[in-house]
Amino acid sequence: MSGEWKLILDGFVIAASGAAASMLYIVSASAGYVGKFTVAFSSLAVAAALTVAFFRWLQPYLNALDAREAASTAKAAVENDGAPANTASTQRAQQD
Amino acid sequence: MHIDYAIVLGYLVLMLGIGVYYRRFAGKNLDNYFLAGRSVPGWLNGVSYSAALVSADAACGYGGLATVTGAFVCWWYLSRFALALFVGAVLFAVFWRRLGLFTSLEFYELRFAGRPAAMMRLWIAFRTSCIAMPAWTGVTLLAACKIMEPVAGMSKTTTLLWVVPVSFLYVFMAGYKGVVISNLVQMAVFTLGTLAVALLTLIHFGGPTALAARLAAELGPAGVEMTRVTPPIEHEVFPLAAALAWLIGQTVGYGGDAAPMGGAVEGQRILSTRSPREAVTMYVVTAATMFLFVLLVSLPCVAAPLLWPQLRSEGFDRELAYGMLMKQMLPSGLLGLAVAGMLAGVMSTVSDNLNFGSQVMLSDLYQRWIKPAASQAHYMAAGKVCLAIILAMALLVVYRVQLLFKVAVFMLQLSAAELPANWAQWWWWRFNGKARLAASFGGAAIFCIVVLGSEALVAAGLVQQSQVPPWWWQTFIVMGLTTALWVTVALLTEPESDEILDRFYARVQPLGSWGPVRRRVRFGALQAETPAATAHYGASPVQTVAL
Repeated sequence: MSGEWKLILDGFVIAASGAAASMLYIVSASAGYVGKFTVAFSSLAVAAALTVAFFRWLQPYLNALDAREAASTAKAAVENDGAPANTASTQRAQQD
Repeated sequence: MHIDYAIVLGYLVLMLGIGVYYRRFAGKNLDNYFLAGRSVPGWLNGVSYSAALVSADAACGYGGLATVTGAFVCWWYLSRFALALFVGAVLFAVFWRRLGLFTSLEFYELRFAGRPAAMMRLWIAFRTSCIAMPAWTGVTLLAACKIMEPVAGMSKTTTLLWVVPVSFLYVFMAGYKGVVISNLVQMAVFTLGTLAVALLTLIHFGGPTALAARLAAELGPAGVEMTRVTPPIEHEVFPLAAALAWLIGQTVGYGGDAAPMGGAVEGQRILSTRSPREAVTMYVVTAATMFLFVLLVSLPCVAAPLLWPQLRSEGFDRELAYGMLMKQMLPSGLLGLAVAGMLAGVMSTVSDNLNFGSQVMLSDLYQRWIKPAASQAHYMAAGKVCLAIILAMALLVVYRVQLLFKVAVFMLQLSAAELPANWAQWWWWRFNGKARLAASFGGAAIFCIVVLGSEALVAAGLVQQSQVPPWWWQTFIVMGLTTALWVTVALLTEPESDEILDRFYARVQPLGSWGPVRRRVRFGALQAETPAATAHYGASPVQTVAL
């Protein structure tokens, strides 16, 4: 699988973790409203864990998307001016 | 009762105040009026998008469904929106925001060339501003009437006189900035009002455990089933298969469309955020808040059949359940708050639809096709005229023209056929304008043959209803056939020109299969690159991308 399609697959996994977290917090509230407290608390615990996972995975993923853009921006600047653009995103790419 | 009216009046005055406050900011230019100067924080846009999606019609619709399903009614909206919104957040929001468009419909003329691109933009603009926005606005206003009639005994006209003038005035004056700020206030009022109904209903029945016990005692096995939190495999209204079909059917293609019929205002939310990352935040906050808002209006209705058993019988309008519950549960003062909350939900949706619909009508119809070169002042005035036109069409829906609503629902069903193409236009360089047309219009034809054709066969007595596949299988058949059609068209016709593809790739750097375009764009850049620049980075641009 190419790096591009791996990025898409990773994106789906991250999206699925966020979606599952949001579903479970609603299921938790619904269960609590009709007295199913065991289901409510266990759903809430899994939702919390998935929320943490979602945000931990999301940031590096967005950084990777930014790095792709930064590389292109730098190339465009080279193409246009013969010198790299001094932007925040190209500085991030340099650090990477 | 006086205190209830005072609360509602106070709320309406506050809305007008917001309109007056942001009037000067909105009047400066089109970007300020329609996109709030592209400076809205992601979380605020997320709340605002929730406000646009959740209205009194959610209280009527989902509340009514809860009386015949139970606590698992939540899957009705979770299956449709949860994965879809997060796919939009992670895989598309950043790329849409990078485009920096004025309306998301401009996408078509960036990604495709010539007549197919222009046709797509014209068709989506017409569908959005002349059918979808007036129809959804009209339906929202109708739902407001359904709530206000049992709660306050208000006629249709009286309800509209409370809602429409204020909604119109603050959008007219303050544009999108007024919409998002008022949405925040509206959702705070909406949450307080609906939370009061949910909690007081629970207290009325003696708490969660007592409520479950009464459902089981008074409704028997049906009452026990109402306490389930997942849809049963067999259910008359909402079986598990329907939830799974929605989950797949709504998620495939989500995020890649310029103006989905169900969430057309989404593009405006993305393009008005401060940065691409804020656009991601917008989606995440939308998911979290929208589910909470719908939960608050649907859960209390699980208890409603205990008070009014007729809600579960055929022929009774179960959509009145939430209004009846409000009237029964809330004391004076809180009733005013809840009514203000419902009005807030209605006004947020109405104002969003008016603002977005007029933006599309102005930019993608009037400016693109009728008067391409005019002053900012001219377009500002024209935008406000568009606002009034859409409101007038919505009022026609409320009073007379149900046809528009039926057409909108029909086109929403039609649009399911083209969903996979929405991802393809971002992830496959070979997807071209002709394939896009095949997906949108050919898909509609396939839908008519498969869905309407089978209905016609049943009506003619040639096939029995039991022989026709259920609606979710029909949806998958239509999607599969449409996908086969547009893939074939894409492969049999010429790709877009190098110029169009290179420009699009350089502007967005989309994911997926863009191999030839990517190599061409990079090769062009590498040819121009100087040795000094290479030394500066210490690595080739290709390596930088890999990192």
